[in-house]
Amino acid sequence: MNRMILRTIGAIILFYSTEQVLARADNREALRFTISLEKNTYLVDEPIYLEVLATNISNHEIAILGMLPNASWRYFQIMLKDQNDQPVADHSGELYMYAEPNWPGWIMASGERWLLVKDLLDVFGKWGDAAHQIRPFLPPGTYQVHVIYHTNPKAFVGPNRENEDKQTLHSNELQFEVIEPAGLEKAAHEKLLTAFIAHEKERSKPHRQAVLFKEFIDKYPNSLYLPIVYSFLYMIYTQGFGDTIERQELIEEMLTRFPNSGLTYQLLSYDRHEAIQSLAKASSISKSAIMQKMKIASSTSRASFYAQCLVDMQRIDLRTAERMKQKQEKR
Amino acid sequence: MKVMGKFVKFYVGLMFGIVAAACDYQGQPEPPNGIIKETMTVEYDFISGFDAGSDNRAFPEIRDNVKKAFMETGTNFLPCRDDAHTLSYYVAGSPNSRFPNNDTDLRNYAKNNRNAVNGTYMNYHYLSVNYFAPNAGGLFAPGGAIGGPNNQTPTPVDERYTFLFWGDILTFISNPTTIRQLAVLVSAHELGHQRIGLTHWDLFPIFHNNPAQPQCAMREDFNFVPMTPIDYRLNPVLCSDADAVNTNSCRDWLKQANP
Repeated sequence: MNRMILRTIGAIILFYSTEQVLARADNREALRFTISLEKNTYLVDEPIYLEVLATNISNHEIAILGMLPNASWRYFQIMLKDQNDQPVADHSGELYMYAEPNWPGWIMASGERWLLVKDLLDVFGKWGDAAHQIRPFLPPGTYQVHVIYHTNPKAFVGPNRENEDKQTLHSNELQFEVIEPAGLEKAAHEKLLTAFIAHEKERSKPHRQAVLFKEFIDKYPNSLYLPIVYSFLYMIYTQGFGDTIERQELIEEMLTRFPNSGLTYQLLSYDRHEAIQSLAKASSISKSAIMQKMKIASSTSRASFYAQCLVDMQRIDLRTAERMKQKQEKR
Repeated sequence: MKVMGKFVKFYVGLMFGIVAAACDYQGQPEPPNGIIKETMTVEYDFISGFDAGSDNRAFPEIRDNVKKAFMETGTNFLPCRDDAHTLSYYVAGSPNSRFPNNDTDLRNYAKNNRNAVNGTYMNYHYLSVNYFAPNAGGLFAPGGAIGGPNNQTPTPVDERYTFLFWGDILTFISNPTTIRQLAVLVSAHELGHQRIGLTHWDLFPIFHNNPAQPQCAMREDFNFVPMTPIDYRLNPVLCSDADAVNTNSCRDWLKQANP
């Protein structure tokens, strides 16, 4: 009985001390915040996957705003400048964010990571000719990208938000180049544009939509455009055919073929969501267990790293939901 | 079940008050100021079971109040359902599938589910769907829309979209009053983006130009603003301005919208 009382008192002290730590934390000191690209030269229409990573390097919990691209409140913004130092307009859709006034922010434990991988064409691509009405593009040129991230939830949620410091973080800045394809890639590019146009013409006929993309894979097995070709096939299979065996086989093939592409982040976060959820519930889990459950072959691949980060993010989510529940019960 | 489905379709069609033929607006009287270039016709689609517009599942205020918000700007607003089309789940045939946080995929989904009537699309598209994948942990996105350049109508007609994540709204909000408020305001807000790329009042006051009207549907932090006696969330205002000289408000921009 006494032990139970002591445990209860301990839990109450822990709860309130955690609240105190969260209340005084300055996330600028607690977070290491970096961005990275797979490479620094891309062909026109090739996806440009930007990795944005925040790691809690402090020895305590912090409450942060997670990174959702396109979110309202503008607490997370990717900034792109062209070679004339002019900002490139953000053409992405907007998500409307909603939180209850007592939302604490995402509770991130020491060592945990929040990762976002985003194709810059989704955000900054321009609409153009018929093929580029299907997928936006960035014209050839030199670009610079960096990210601004306001990390203090109290500056955005709750009645006194105007008096709070947003705790702004600026990432490192990266430069990359977009160039016209040449040689075999030029031919591959033309085939890709034809497939984009056919995709539009054959809307609601997924079998026909898939034909040209499959032809592309057979004809240009080593092209740099393969990730975007697969990504379109994945979209066609998902929305056109549903969760068939063929779709599952396609996902396996993509993970095997592009273990280091940003493409796998989207795949893992969407199609391995149940595995991520069950992994996050375990008190501790090894890297190899994550890889096994997520069906990732190479331990040194980006896919392996993405999987670990996605489990971290799911843990953050579960912890936050739990704290919200505790707060409600306390009331 | 089939009979029920037919009844729901009929009922929703009735509630939205429109069939395709009625979208021909030639016979309507011209609004008083005469500078409106475009009747706002909206294709309304929904996933079965997530129909935000039907009385039995939600509230007629969503339709009526959103319409009122646009009418106040002088926009000739005509919500339409062009047929008995219901949407498929994001992963076709998989009820547990959620919508991904990826512009290209959302846009493609909206586009694949656009329906032409006699070769013509309604000029705006509103989709009431189930769940958005990243929603969790006390913070969620009840809606989203295609963006556009400031105060210009975005993208070709058949690529425009506004999503209402109706399943998430019902999951995250338990209070029926708040559900109504949120659904009405998010719908007006997101259709404001889609209609003419309306910006956020609190970020770009220059495009709204009405300091006397801070309770604008286009503000981005409305969910934290304390409630007022007259619940503006249920009666959203698209920054309508009483000032006839002012030509730089939401209302003015909406009136000049191009199809």
